[in-house]
This record gives sequence, structure tokens and C-alpha cells, in this order.
Amino acid sequence: MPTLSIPPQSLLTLGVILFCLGLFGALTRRNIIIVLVCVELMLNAANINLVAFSRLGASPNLDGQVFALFTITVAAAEIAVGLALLLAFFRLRQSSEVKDMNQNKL
Amino acid sequence: MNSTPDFLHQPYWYTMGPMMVVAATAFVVMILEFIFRSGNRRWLSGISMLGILVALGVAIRFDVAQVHQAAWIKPQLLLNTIAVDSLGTVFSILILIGSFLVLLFTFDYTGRTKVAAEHTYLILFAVVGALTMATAFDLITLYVGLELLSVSSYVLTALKKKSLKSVEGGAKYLVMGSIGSATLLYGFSFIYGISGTTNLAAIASSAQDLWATYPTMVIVAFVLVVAGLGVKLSFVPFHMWTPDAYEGAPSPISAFLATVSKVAGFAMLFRILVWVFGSGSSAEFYWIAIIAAITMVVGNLLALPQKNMKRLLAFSSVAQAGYVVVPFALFGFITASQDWYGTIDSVMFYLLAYTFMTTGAFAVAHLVERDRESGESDALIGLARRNPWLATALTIFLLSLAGMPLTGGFVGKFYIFTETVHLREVWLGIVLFGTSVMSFFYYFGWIRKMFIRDPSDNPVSPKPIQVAPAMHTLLGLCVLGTLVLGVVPAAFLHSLGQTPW
Amino acid sequence: MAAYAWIIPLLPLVGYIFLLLLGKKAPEGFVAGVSTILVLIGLGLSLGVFSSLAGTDGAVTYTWKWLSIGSHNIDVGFQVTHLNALMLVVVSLVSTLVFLFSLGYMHKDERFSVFYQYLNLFVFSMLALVISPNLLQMYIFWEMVGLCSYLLVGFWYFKPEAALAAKKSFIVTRIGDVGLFIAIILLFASTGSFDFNTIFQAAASGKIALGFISGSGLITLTAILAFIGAVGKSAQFPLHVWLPDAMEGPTPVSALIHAATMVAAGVYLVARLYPLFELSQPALTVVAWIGGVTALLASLMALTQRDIKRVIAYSTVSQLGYMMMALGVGGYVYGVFHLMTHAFFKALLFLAAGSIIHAIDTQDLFDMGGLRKKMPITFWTFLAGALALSGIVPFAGFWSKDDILTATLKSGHPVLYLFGLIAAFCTAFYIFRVFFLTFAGKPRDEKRYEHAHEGSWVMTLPLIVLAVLATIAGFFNSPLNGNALEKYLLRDAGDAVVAGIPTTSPAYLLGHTYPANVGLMALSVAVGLAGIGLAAWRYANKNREITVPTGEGNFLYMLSYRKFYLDEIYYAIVVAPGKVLAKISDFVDRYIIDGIVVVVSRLVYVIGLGLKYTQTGQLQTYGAATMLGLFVILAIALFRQGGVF
Repeated sequence: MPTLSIPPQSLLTLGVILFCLGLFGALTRRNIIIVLVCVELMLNAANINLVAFSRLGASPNLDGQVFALFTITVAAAEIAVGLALLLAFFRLRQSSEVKDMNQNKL
Repeated sequence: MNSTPDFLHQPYWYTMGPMMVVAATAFVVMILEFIFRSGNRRWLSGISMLGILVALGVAIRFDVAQVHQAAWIKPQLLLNTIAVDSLGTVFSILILIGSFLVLLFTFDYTGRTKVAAEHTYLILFAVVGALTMATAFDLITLYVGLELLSVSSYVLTALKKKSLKSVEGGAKYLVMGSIGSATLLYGFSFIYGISGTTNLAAIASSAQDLWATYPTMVIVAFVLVVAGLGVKLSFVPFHMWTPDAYEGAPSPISAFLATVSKVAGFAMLFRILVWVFGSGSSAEFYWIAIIAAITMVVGNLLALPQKNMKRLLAFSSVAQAGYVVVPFALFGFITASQDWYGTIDSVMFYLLAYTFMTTGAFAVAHLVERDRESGESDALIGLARRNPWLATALTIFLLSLAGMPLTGGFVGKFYIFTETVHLREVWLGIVLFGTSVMSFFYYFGWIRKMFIRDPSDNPVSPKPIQVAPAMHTLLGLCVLGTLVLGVVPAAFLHSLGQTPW
Repeated sequence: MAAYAWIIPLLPLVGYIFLLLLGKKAPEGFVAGVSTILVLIGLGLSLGVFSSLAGTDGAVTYTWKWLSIGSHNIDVGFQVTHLNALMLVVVSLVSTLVFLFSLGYMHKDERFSVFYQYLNLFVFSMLALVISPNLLQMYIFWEMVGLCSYLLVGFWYFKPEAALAAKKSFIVTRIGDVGLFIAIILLFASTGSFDFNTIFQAAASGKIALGFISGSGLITLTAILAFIGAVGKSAQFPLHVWLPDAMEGPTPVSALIHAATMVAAGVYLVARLYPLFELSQPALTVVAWIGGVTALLASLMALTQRDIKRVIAYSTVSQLGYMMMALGVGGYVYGVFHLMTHAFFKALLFLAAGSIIHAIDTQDLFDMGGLRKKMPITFWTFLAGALALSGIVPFAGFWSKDDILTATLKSGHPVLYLFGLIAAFCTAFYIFRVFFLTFAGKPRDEKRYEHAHEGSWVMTLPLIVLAVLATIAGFFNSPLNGNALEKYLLRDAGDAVVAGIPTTSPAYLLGHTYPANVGLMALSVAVGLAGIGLAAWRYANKNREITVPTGEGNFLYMLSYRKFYLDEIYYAIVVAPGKVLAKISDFVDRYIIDGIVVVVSRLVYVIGLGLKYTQTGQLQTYGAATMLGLFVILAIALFRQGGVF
């Protein structure tokens, strides 16, 4: 099978871009759902890295892909809890805006 | 991977005992909860406590077994992912003691406040996560343990689903916690990338060369990992979610977050710092020292003007985390191998004392808050007359948190201080003592309030606070723990000193 | 027997807790009875411990590991050396008698039970201090006796002078404690141990060094710093100013704490650390001169005081100076011996003074007179005490003071010997001045004289016991019994053999001993008799009218009466030099000393308040702060690393 050579730097750069994109979104978007989605983006940046290293790292092996699978599972659990909390919050506050989470402060 | 793991001949029970007991209890409680859908289900907490006690017994037996073995035993690995060494065992014991106290606390809490009965097994699963963090020897397992603890904690924080504060606290914790996890994972991915393995032992064995080859990557990974764990352990500047989550969460869960969750976090920080970054330059550990100093200063400063009891305890726990992380910063400066013992001992000792005093303080704060229906510290006014026992207990906890002699907190701080002197990082010790002087102001503010007379009280027979037997037991245990560690620290230090790390 | 020494301090602690539980309303007889019996049992045990050590060398030590720090262990436990055993006996004996005496003296005081609580706590701390096996434990109890002294001096806190005196005593001794604490830390840093024996061994074998300070320099430095602590506690010049003021406390407290035990703790500290002091001649010289100067100055100040308790207080300062001088010139045994005899006769004098004050309710000598007929027991016992203090053969003070003077002269300190001799003359004069003004002549205040009476047996019995001791205690270490106490105390030097210290090392030698010299003995007795004679001529002479001295125009009298103006000099240094300076110091006092604490705490509070407003409750602010922190750390770390990738 002919190998397609992709320089590892470009994959890592993709990871950095995804991470920063997710971070920027998580810190600026007003809707909690979008914020949660952006957090997923950050996790996926890590996944990209893991998979990239699994193939192109210093000593390539399958551990990275296994790690990525675990991460995806865990992230799914996390987002499920997140959405459940959002639902509970919406019931009480009639809002899904981040800025309305302002009961606990100072 | 060094060798093909032998699946059949590994001592599963011996190595994973406490974890298996707690997990089994969790499942049993979960099934029982499904079967008995109605009525008073507080007995589920009783079963959970029993399970924790059994696990504690198993863990202590391991510890004793290890002590009685040769001076140095090789850590045993299970499937190359779980290590059973003294370190994991002692951390497990600390976690189990903390969990037991928290369960005792919830047992009382659920008698008065209606919360979903699911919390019992959620706590147990969180404890399984914490135990995993203490014993895991692989980046993947560590991560899964951390997430098991975290995801359970998010739900537990939002347990009072009719209370906006509780749900909001949970949601904030979730978002911040997830950002932290993502950062941590991103850091892990770099470690994996340069070492090509997720096993800590394998990383440690080749670390020296790798770190010399990819210094930048190491620094990036280091900062990301510390920041990610820093969110969970609420180091400054990653602490900001802490007071909001603690304030919103039911009091037992606040205590859980402050004690069990932190002990587990420190266990994981320990594993990663020592095995992954231990052979790096000490320059990296300067960052830990700086974070420790900032955390101590800012945590105490934030606590000063705080009026809400639980928020104050939250900031106090931020500051306390700063004290505990001081020995971690010292790891980078250790040259002689026997210096490890003292540093690790000091961490363990302080964490144990911290578990007792913080749980106790949260318990009294909770009782006062329930009685006065106010979470402000002014609710403490006149406590000495309304219930002298509560006032005495809280005084002991606060004195210990502040670091007065004859309490566990003092011995712990003193121990850490002498370690800083011993390893020639005196400035950290000075920051430690300076900031604990600062902490006297707010802790003594509480003590003063307890002992002044409440003008609104009936002077002849002030209304006493009702305290259930479970709470008496909890407070008694915490007072006993705090004082015993303060007066005869050797009781615990001796067994620590015998433990081969 | 020595293995049970730990019970001795525990008994008063039990008493303290018991009284605490009993509450303030407990009946007086019961409170005092329980306390006295407990201390009495302690006295029995102390005597047992004392005699059990008679035939043995070295110390009995029991320690348990309390804390282990890295490679260092910090122990708690107790240690009974021959010195400690002697101190145990002295402290528990005087405590027992004072406990009994207080039942009469504090009768009908509304805080009677609290008084006994404090006393019990004090005796516990003092006994525990005595048997501490290491410096840290000793320091803890050192501070505790200071705290108890503070509580007891200010016991009548509604009197402003008492409150002020309590504060003064606490603060002045604290100055000394700083020195002691630094010494302890230095010793720990250089030897890695608080343990007495470990420190001595390290010092004796030269294995003591800290950074750029050499071994012998470090020994001198730590010895002098520790001595500063002793100066504060034992009220030596120039930190003696607190002790006379501390007389505001109840008289039994003065007898117990400010004569027999706590103030002697300073002397005890030097004696306990003697192996260290012996390695440093400069430190010993400092000790000797401070002691000699104190002995002379304080005895001069005592000459003209009008308050009976203040005379005895200055006398205490002066006698403590003798002890220090003895230790400084190498007369270890004599300093400790004098500590013991002084404890007896000074406690006696204070209790007798208490008995007088109790009877006629004044402390002014010029309101007294003619009490001999009314209070015969007090009269005779006071006489015994006064003779002992004046050093008249064969009373206790004669033997110990004479030993000190002999050692001073024979060790080559003629100037100090002269100081001591002058002080001895003054001592005899001032104490018999008190004696004659009190007991002889006609009553100067008839109204008070009328209702004067002897106290009940609880007050007279301690006086009689102490009077007997003040008479005979000197024979414990006289040539007549072959200097038994000297041989007993020097057995501590046997530790050197145990520790394997080379015999050439001066440590563990415990000073030098000198044979009694009849000529010098006769001289000092003659000096004492001359003082008594002068006092008798001046105050017990029917032809001389005793008038209240005004001191106008008499420079020397005023010099002594105003205590060499030392209080004023201190005052002047702080406040007086001109109004400008007064204002500055007022400003300093109000805005800087007081202000710094306030300002710093305010500032810290305001910073905290400012930081508090960072907790906006806005999730995304939190996230931004967190990530800003991350990126700042990352940026600095990468910058230091030098370039990205």
C-alpha cells in the first residue's frame, strides 16, 4: 500500500487550531450548548494529536488510537451529563445563556 | 511494553482489592436502589459505608503487608495499568477515610433534606475513580479515573435539582472541569507523542533521553498537564470555579470536593510529576513552586473579606492546596534518595490532617446554616451558648486549619516547613508561614463570632441546635483525628516512616 | 525511681484540670486541700527521685519519637539529671508550702479557685520545664511559665498598676526570649537536634558549624543568645526592671514565682547549658560580669525602697546576680547551691512579708513598726530569713554566698569579688533595715497596729518549715559533711564518660571547686555583721527619730531610691528628649508601631476585597482567567526555553 506522507507538523498545527478554536468558542459564545460543543472541539484537538502521534510519532504504535477511543467515550459521558445539567438549569431559569448563570458570585 | 503480560497469574485481588470492593458495593447499591423505589432509603448509605470500611480494611492490610516485607519491594503492575505500591495504598487509605466521613455526612444530610437517592452510588463511583487515580500507572487509566471522578462530581454538585444555585454550580464546574480535562489530555497527547507509550514505567525509563531530545515539547506538555490538573485541584489562577461550585453543592458534596477529590488529584499529580517529569530539569519544578506561592497568597487573600461560610471554606481549601503543593515543588530539588521519604511523608500527613479538619468544618458550618437558615458567617454568633460542643469542635478545626500547635494542621505545616528548610527552598516556607499568619485573621473572626453573645438570643436558655447521632459520630471522629495527629503525630508518622515508598 | 519522674509534673496538671471542672464556686478548703495534697505527693516523689540518683552517674532519660522530619527526629520525654532532681525537690517543696500559705492569704478572694488553677498550671509548667530533655520542649514550658506569671501578676487585674505590671513583665521577658529562641534555632540548624546531650556532644567534639560561622564562634554566639533569655527571665541588668513591678501580684505568687522558681529558671538555663558555656570563655565572662553588676546595682537600689516587697524584690535580683556571677566564674556547684538556699530563705522572707501585709494591710515600711509583740512567729522566722540572706554563720546563705565569693576571688576576679563584698554589705543593711522598721520600735500607725494579728496555722506552718530550712540548708554542702551536694551535682559530669567525650574537653567538667577558706569566711561574716550593725544603729536606736525620708538634697539617697533613675532613663530614651522627639515618638507609637499592624491588615484586607470582585460569577470570565494563566505560564516557559520548536 503506497504511503501517503503527511508531515507531522501539519497535523499538530491542525490540533492547535482546533484547540484554540474550541477555547475561543467556549469563552465567547453565549449559548451553553455551543459552549459544550466547543469544549468537545478542544477534546478532539487532543484526539487528533493522539491519532497523529500514533502514526507519525517518535515510535508509532496503537496506544494512541486506543487512548483516543477512550477519550471519545468519556467525552460522550461528559456531554450527556452536561446536557442534563443544562436541561435542569433551563427548567429553573428559563434560559440557556451563559451570562444567566449568576447566582453564585462574590 | 517490556514483556507480554501474563493475564492468568497476576494477583488481581491483591492489587485491586479496595477498588473492587468499592465498585462491587456501588453496583449492589445501584441495583438495590432500582428495586426499592420508595420510602426512606437512607440505609443505602449504611451499606455504602460498610463497603467503604471493608475496602479500608483491605487497603490497610495491604499496607501492613508491604511494611512487613523487605525494605524495598518492587511495585507490582497489573496489566501494566494498575500499580500496587505503598504510595497508591496510602493514598487509597486517605481517600477511603475521606469517603467514609463524607458518607457519614450524607447519611445525616439526607435525613433532613430530600435529594435523589442516586447520590449514594454516585459517590461510590466517584470514589472508584479516585482510587483509580491513586493507583493507575498508565496515562489512559489515569485519565479514565479522573473523568469517572469528575463526571460523578458534576452530577453530585447539581444534586439539588430544584435549587438554581446547586444546578448552576454543577454546570459551572462541568464547563470548567471539561476545559481542564481537555487541557490535560492535550498535554498527555504530547507526552505520548514523544515517548510513544502511555505506560508510566516505560516513560520513566526512557524519559531522560527523550526530554533531552524534545525539551520544548516537554515544557508544553508540562504546563498543559499542570494547568489541567490545576483546574481540578483549584490552584490559582485556575481556581475560580471553586467557590461557586462549593457554595451551590449540598454540604456533604462540598466536603467531598474539598477532600476526597483533592487527595485523588494530588495522587495523580504525584504520579505524573515523579514518573514523567521527575528526570527533567528542576526549572520545571520552579513553576510548581511559583504556583504554590501564588495559590497560598491569593487563596488566603480571597478568604479574608468573605462573609459566606462555605465560600470562605472554599477559598481556605484553595489556600490549603497551596500548602500541600509545596512539597511537590521540592521534588525537583531532591538529590539524596532518603529525602524523598520526608517529602512524601509530609504530603501524606498534611492530607490526612486536612481531610479531618475540613470535613469537620464543613459539617459544623452545615449544621449552623441549617439551624439559622443563613449561610453567612454571622450565623455563628452565639454558637458557644447554643451548642458548646459544636463551638468547641469548630474551634479545634479552625485552629488546626490556621496551624496552631497541638493540632494536626500545625504538625503538618511544621513538617512541610522543615522540609523547605532542609531542601534549601526557605522562601517557600516563609510564604507558607506568612500566609498562615494571614489566615489567622479570618479563622479567628469565626472563633470570635462563636463566643460573643447573640443579642437576639434568649439569654437564659438559648435555643439549642439539634444534632443527630450520625453527626456527633462524624464530628467526634474529626476532632479525634485532628487532635491525635496534633498531639501524638508519631502514631501516624511512625507507620508512614516504615512504609517503603 | 527516676523512671517515675514524669508523674511529678502531671500531679499539678491533674489538679488544674480538676479545679477547672470543679468550677469557680468550689469551697476554698477543698480547692486548696486537693492542690496541696497533690503537690505534696509530688514532693514525696521528688525526694525519692533525688535520693535514687545519689549513687549513680549520669542522667536518666526517657524519650519517645514525637515527630520525624527527614533524617531529624524530634523527641518528647523527660530527663532526670542530678541538677534536675535537685530542682524538682526545690520547686515542689516551695510550691507545697506556698499552696498551704495561700489558703490563708487568699481567704475570701472572690476568684480563689481561679488563683489555685493558675498556681497549679504554673507548677506543672515549671516542673515540666525542669525535666525537659531537649531545648524545644524546654522552650515551650519556658513560655508557659511566663504566661502563668503574666496571669498571676495581673491576678488583681482591676488594679491598673497590676495590669500594667503584668504587661511589663511579659514584654520585658519576651525581649530575652527572642534571644533564647534564636539560640535554639541556631543550635538546631547546626547540630540537627534539640536534644541537650546531642548538642553538648556535637559542641564538645567540634562537630558544630553553620555556614561561615566557625565552631567556637557559633558556640559563643549561641551561649550569649541563650544567656539573653536567662537575663530576661532572671531579671538581670539591664532587663531587671520588670521584677520589682511584678510585686503587684499577690504575695504568695511573689514568693513562688518571683523568688524561688521561675526567676531562677534563667540561672537553671545557664546551669543546664553549662557544658556549652564552658566551651566559650567569652560567654562565661559575659555571664560573670552581668551577674556581678546586677548583684551590686540591685543591692544598692534596695537600700532605700519604702515598699517592703520591693526591697525583697531587689534583693532577689541581687541574689540572682550572685548566682550568675558564680556560674560565670566557673563555680557551677556554688551557683546551683545558692539557687537552692536562696529559694528557701527568699520564699520565707516573701511569705513573712505576706504575713505582715495580711495583718496590717500596708506595704509601706514607714507605716509599720513594733510588730514583734503582735506577731512573734513571723518575727522569729523573718529573723532567720534575714540572717540567712545576710550570710551570717551558720545560716543557709552564709555557706552558699561564701562559696560564691571564694570562687570569685580564687578564679582571679578581684573586681567582681569586691562587687560581691559591697553587695553583701548592702544586703545585710537593707534587710535589717526592713527588719527593724517592721518589728522594732514603736508602732507608727496605731490604727493598723491595733488589729494586727498572727495568721492561722496554714500561714505560720510554712513559715516555720522554711525558717528551719533557711537555718540548716547550708549544711547540705558544708565542709562539715564533706560537701555532699557538690559531689552529688558533679556526678552529672559522669555523662562525659557515657558520651565518650575526651576528658581533655572542658565540657562536662562542670566548673571548678575551691576548698573553704576560713579567712575569707570571716571577712564576709564581718562585712555582714557590719551591715547589720549599721542598720541597727540607724533604725533600732532609741535616740534616733525615725522619720519618713524625703531625700531632698541627698543625691546618693535619691540615686538609690529612684533605682539609679534607670526607669527614668528608659523612659527618657523613648519619650523625653525634647517635645519634638516626644511628638515624633508619639507619632511613631500611634501611627507606625500600632499603625503598621492596622495598615498592613487593612491593606491585605483591601487587596482581598479587590480580588473578591474577580469572582463575578460569570463562567466565561473564569475560563478566560484560567486560560490567561495557562498562556502566560506557557509563554514565559517557552521564552526561557528559547524559541518554539
